[in-house]
Amino acid sequence: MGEGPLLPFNDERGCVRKMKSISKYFTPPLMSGDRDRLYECLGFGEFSLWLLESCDGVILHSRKYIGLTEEPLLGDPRSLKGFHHPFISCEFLGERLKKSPLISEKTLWEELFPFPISLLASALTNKTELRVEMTPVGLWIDFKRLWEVLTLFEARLANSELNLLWVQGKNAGIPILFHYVRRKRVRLGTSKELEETGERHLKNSSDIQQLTDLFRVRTIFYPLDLRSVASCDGPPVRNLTRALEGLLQKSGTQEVSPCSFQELGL
Amino acid sequence: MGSPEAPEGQRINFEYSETALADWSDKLRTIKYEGHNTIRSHVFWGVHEQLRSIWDFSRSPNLRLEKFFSAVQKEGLCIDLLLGFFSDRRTFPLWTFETEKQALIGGIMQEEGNGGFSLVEVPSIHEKTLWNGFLAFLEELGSIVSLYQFPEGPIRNIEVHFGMYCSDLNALSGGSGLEALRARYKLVERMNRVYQTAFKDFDFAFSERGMKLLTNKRPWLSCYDYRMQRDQLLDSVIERFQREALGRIFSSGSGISIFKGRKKGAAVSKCAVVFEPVFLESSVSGKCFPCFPYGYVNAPAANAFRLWEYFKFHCSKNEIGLGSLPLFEGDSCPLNEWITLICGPYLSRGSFRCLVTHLEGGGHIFFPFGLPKYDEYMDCLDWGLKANFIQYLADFGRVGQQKKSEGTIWVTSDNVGLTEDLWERVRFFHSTMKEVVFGR
Repeated sequence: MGEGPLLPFNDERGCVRKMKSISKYFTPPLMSGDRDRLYECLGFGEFSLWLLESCDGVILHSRKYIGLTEEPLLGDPRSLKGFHHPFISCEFLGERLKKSPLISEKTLWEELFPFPISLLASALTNKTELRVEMTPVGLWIDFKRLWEVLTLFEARLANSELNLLWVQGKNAGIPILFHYVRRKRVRLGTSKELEETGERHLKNSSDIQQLTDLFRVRTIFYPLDLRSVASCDGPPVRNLTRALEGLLQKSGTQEVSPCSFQELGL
Repeated sequence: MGSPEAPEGQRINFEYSETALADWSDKLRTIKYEGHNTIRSHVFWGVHEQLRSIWDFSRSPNLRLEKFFSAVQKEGLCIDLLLGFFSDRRTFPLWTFETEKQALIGGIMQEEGNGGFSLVEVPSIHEKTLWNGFLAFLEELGSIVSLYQFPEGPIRNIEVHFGMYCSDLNALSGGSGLEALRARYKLVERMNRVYQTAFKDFDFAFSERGMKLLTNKRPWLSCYDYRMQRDQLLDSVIERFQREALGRIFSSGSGISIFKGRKKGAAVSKCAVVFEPVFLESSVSGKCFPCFPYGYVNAPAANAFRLWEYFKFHCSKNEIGLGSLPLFEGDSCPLNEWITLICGPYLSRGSFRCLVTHLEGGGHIFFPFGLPKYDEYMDCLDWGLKANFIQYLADFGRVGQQKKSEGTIWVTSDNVGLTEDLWERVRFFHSTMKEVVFGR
């Protein structure tokens, strides 16, 4: 088993350090295409949302999103007649745009969700350079609850060096591999090989130990099956929250029972 | 000097640094089997230099360059090697982030951005320690690369990219040279007259605070001046690179190209909707960003950007090309026979000459937001038109037409306005015009 390159990460004191990755799970980071696939698997394929970004009273972005398709608009969508859709307003405070460093830590929320849902992390972490608001209030409460559950889930993930989350959506699935060192997220990603590895090893075998043998380190498998909650009447945010809560209750600190794979049809 | 480029379909990207060494041969073999004959690989400075002046070309398994070049050669493939500055976190070693001068790159950085507006701080190309560090890295890299250059080795072309700095919104900070601006205005009093300001010198006028005031006074002109000076600064960086490094570091076996990231004019010839470019920055990833010097938002640039995004969406849906005019004089730009030009009251001389050439060649131009009147010297643009336009009535209002040289100019008589049905209105004006000219 070879060694991967040195990767920078921030330790508990915020100092940048380097660690060696193990090439066996040297998965490429989550790219925008992967994030889009994940978004659909999570049930947001038809989710509609309007967005307005502004700074110093000037409109920068005005967009309508339905799932992953986006349509630019010229003006403030709230001025459209009868507007009552889910809406995010993002205002840069001050006269200038926000400056970000090239290498910066992202929350798990920002890693997993595409724009503009990723913007909500700024509101949920009380970043002062942006004012992010969402309407209607009910939807905002749903997203806040999802944030809380995701935070709990990350705390669970951080207990183990490697975690493989298999997200099974209505029509397709995607595996995400999480790597933690001393409870700090180092990397998450996916790859074609990971999909093939997962399907190959898990379709033909009920022995979850195989994953641990493959990566040479204790690996926890989390099957997130959105199909079991898709039939419930509710927006995808609530469905996802329910599915994650169920996963947290089921998994505890034990590795998931192999029969979960059979339920997934793997 | 140059080696022939492989046709587009035969080239494919392959990042050796992102692939485990044990997988190189298999993946390269697959690439060859799929019919490609050339791979494009980035050599990221930041990946090979984790600690200052300590370069890793052989220690980490997937950074073993010689092994990689040998593997490529063994599979009978060629390499186009990409060096320089990319919209990617792997471009910069960590130590460069401690340097004083930082560039501000707008838009979306690949792999980093989650969309939306952001300004990313990256080390500036005008920072001496970064420049010297980059050249030192290239020297070290060159000693390996030169052993594998064409024809003995697989490296067919070397590309050096500076395009990211084309859209640096901090390029004039900290006393960067202002030669182009001094040459343009000669005296600060002339500049003050044009801007209606009272600056004592150019340095303060184009500093962060000064620029804010200039942009408030004359947004179009301030963006033009900013871009002109930045362009000249980047040109001088590239000239310096060619002089100090290129011939010395790499042998002449492979083709060597330097990329500044500017769009080629030829692509605009297929575009039916064309933008006046001053307010629109092009990032190397192909995305557009409004020109906000030092990150200060200005409404005209924001409006131009929103219009760009709006037309880009509708043009794409309707398979219509979208592009922008050249900004500076000397850039040639063949245009589509019919163009709709999105612009305000200002047009640079470079853009104006392009349009005049287009009309002389029998081209037609539609101005939905009125005819531009002034250039970057605040002189009136001489369209050579008569007082009266022939008026036609379209579904959404009146449009006036005049013959100009061999072509025609069309201008709306009523204010078009920025409403969501703008695309439909522009399309109907367009079909009215074509009916008049072609009788269909």
